[in-house]
This record gives sequence, structure tokens and C-alpha cells, in this order.
Amino acid sequence: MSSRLKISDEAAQYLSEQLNNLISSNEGIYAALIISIDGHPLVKQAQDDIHESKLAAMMSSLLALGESIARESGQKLCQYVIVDNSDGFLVDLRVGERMLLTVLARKDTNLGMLLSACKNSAETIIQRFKL
Amino acid sequence: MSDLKFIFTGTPGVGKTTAISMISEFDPVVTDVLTTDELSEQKEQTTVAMDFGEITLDDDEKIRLYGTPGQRRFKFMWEILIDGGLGLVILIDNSRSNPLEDLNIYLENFRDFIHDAGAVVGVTRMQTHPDPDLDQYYAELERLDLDLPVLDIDVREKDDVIMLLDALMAVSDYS
Ligand SMILES: Nc1nc2c(ncn2[C@@H]2O[C@H](COP(=O)(O)OP(=O)(O)O)[C@@H](O)[C@H]2O)c(=O)[nH]1
Repeated sequence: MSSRLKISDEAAQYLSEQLNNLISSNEGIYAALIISIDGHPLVKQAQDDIHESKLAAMMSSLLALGESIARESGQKLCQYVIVDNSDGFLVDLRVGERMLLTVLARKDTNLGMLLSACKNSAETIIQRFKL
Repeated sequence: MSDLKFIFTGTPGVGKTTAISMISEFDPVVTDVLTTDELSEQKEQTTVAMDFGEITLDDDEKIRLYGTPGQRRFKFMWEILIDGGLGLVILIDNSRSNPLEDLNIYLENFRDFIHDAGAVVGVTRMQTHPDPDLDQYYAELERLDLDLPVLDIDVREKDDVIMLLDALMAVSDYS
């Protein structure tokens, strides 16, 4: 994947494994991406074809807006941005200073379970890289 | 109340966020995040969604000011932000390697909007980088059959940014 945030092969492999774990931990999840905070795709695991470069830029804008809105409204830290659509969910959350996690799930997914799976993955990655 | 909306665009680092924060009446909305690509050599942070500020004119009319992300991968945000806009400020950084080419890129990116609404070009960092000069900008615009004002500005000077808006109001449909 095209990106310039330098991550080692080892780190990329670790991230891929984490995304695989996430996808297998929850039946509803069909794709997961790690994206640099300024919108470049870094690692992708997906059962379907997805256009990662466009999605990466869009999800980084969305998270930045979510974080601005959280501050503006006095609700402090944005934990997730959730896009709830007729055919599924997208969840966007921060992973440390320089990355974010985007997860795509089918509509029959339990949202609470989905969010908790996303959060666990993000925390595992943060701990591994001491982000 | 009529609704005035102007959009600022240009390469990352040219001064969109600075320009809007110089004239906005409140702390602008910013969506800057850390840069992780080659841009990080020049700039620690970059706008990924939008800047937003507001200024009130003498006759109590409000102008909403939006700044776009500079990079092409955020083109979808440009399309969202220009919706309903009355004019475009194109900021060009004269210290870059080919400012006239930058100008062409933004004129092309926003071609339909410039045609329908109106635009003004603000050239920054001319004090340290006088070349190309304003005549060359006008020659380039003439070659493209475009009649837009070009101003030498410093985005850190409030008066310069106001001057840009005045020029834009003169050319856009607003009267
Ligand atoms: N030295 C110098 N700095 C400038 C000049 N114009 C803008 N800047 C600086 O360049 C930076 C522009 O950053 P920013 O407004 O975030 O640019 P954006 O990416 O277009 O939003 C700011 O730190 C400005 O103070 C200039 O003429 N001279």
C-alpha cells in the first residue's frame, strides 16, 4: 500500500495480525484498516474489495472533525466516530498520536460488541508500540 | 439574512489556517493533525478536514470562512466545502519550486466553481521570493483567458487578509 509513514515490515506484519484477530473476533466485521492520522492507508485486511486510499483520507477527515466537535461541545475526548448506514457500520478511532483504526461491519452486528472489539484492538496496538 | 461563504485553498503550508485565524472573530475551528509523510519536513501539522471562522462586515453581514485541506487526496472535502460558496481565495506560496504550476493546478481543480462564483489569487512570501512577480501571474492568467485579481500578501497581516476579501467581494456575485 502506498504510504510514507515509515513502518517496519515487522510492525506492518504485527498490525496485519491484529487486524486479522479483530476480524475473526467478531463475525460482523468484514474489513479493518490502519491509517496514518493524516490520511494515508498503512495496513488493510478485508474480505471484500474496498478502495482504501479514498476511504483512508475520508476517515482521517471524519475523525479530525469528530475530535474538534467533541472539544467544541465540551465533551472532551472523542472515543469513536460511528457512521450508521442502511447496510452497515463504520467505526473510526484513534490509535496513539499518528494512527487511526477504521472498521467496517455488517448491519446485523451488535454495536456495543463491535465498539468494544475495536477498542481492545486499538489498546493492544498502543501497548505493543508504547504509543 | 444573506449567507456569504468564502473558501480558502492552496498548497499545504501556504497559510490558509493562519489567514482565517487572523480575521476570524472567534477561535477558528481547526482540524490539524500531525503530518506523517514527506510534508513533515516542512510542517508538523496539516489540515485534514477544514478550517472554519467568521467575520462580520460593517453592515452586520457575516462572512463564513472555510479553509480546505491542501492535498489532492482530500478532494472530496473541497467538493463539500465549496457548496454554496460565493468565492474562492487561492493562496500561492512563492517560495515553492514552481508557483505558476501550483496556480494552474488549483485553477484546474476548482475550474467550475471559479467560473460560477469568482476567485482571487493571493501570493505569499514574495518579500523573500520575488520571482515570479505579479506581472508574470497576470500574464499566466491572461494566457488562460482568466481575469482575476492577484495580490501580494502576508497571511500574518490582518489587513492583507481583509484586502483579499475586499478584492474577492468585488469580483464575486456579491454586490
Ligand atoms: N516567514 C514567513 N512565514 C510565513 C509567511 N506566510 C506564512 N507564514 C507561516 O507559514 C505557516 C503557514 O501555516 P498554515 O497557516 O497552517 O498553512 P496551511 O497549511 O495553508 O493552513 C504559518 O506558520 C505562518 O506563520 C511569510 O510570508 N513569511
